[in-house]
Amino acid sequence: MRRLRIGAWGLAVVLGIGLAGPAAAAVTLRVAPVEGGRDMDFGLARSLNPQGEPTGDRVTRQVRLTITSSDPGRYQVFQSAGGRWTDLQGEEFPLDAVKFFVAEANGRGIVRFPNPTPLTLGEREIFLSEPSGGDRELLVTYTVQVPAGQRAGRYRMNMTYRVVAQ
Amino acid sequence: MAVDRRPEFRVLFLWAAGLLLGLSVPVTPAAAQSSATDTIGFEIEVEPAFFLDLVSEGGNILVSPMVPDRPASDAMRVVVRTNRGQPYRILHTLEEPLRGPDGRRIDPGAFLFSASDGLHGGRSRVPHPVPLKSGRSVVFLSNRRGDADEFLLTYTAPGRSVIASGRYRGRVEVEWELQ
Repeated sequence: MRRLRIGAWGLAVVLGIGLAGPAAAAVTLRVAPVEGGRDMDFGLARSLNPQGEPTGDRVTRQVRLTITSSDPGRYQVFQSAGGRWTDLQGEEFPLDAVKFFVAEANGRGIVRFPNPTPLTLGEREIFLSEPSGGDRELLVTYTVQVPAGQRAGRYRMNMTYRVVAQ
Repeated sequence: MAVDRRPEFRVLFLWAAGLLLGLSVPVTPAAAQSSATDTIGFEIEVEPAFFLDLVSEGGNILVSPMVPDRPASDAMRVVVRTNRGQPYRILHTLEEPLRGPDGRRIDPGAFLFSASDGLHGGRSRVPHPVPLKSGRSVVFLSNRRGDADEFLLTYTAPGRSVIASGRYRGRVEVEWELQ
């Protein structure tokens, strides 16, 4: 009877693990602006030229996403503009004045936005890894075309990046 | 014959307990996660700017010829370009009154000026001609948003005064001020 009990325990534990399904890959994410600093600072830009004509500056910045995956398994990378780009007075800087594209260092996996695309509110998948997963480095390039005559001010918003193992 | 079923119940209990234990066994190290998130700020600063241009033929106001009973006028376009987003006002100052070649000053009532409303919602404070006198006065108020705008400053000699012949020159200054 004792053998029967031990056998029952062992079988149930094995069965339980089996029912729990395959483990999702453990992933980590590090986000760092290429130009340094914690935030993406597009600096001081003009919306009127020195002659007073409404013409906006163009500014480009990049952010590097470093993803590690400890176990084999596919993962997705998402980008999410968390809200409108506004200054303290609530004046808005149009999101579609920002275009972004994504590049993967080794050309592996599926890059969703290889060409400049206007930024929009909400979460979008920007990268899908190979089924085997693996460590990857993504470079996201943002180009801001300041709208001509855009209201002066300091505009701020949050950008969230998320990696989800499947 | 009575059958003791307790051992089977025990086995079933152990199966269930084992199943729950199996389901709860962690399959990845405690620190590992199946998703990761990070947030950074995006910032840009748009530089404040304000430009005021006075546009007139040849860079001057030329009210000519001044002939009795025949009005003459000339206009200057005032162009404001700004991204400050604050209401502003335009001030007009007669810096140097009109003087003839012999230094004689012209009668202020012989020369009038007015401002038009703006093309983008600004309002004139001198919609009707008033004498061009020394001193500073507000001639134009922007709309509430402080948008870029443009308007005309018109200088008129109604020709009602008798003025000694000759060429008279003066100087006006136009400036802006945030409200």
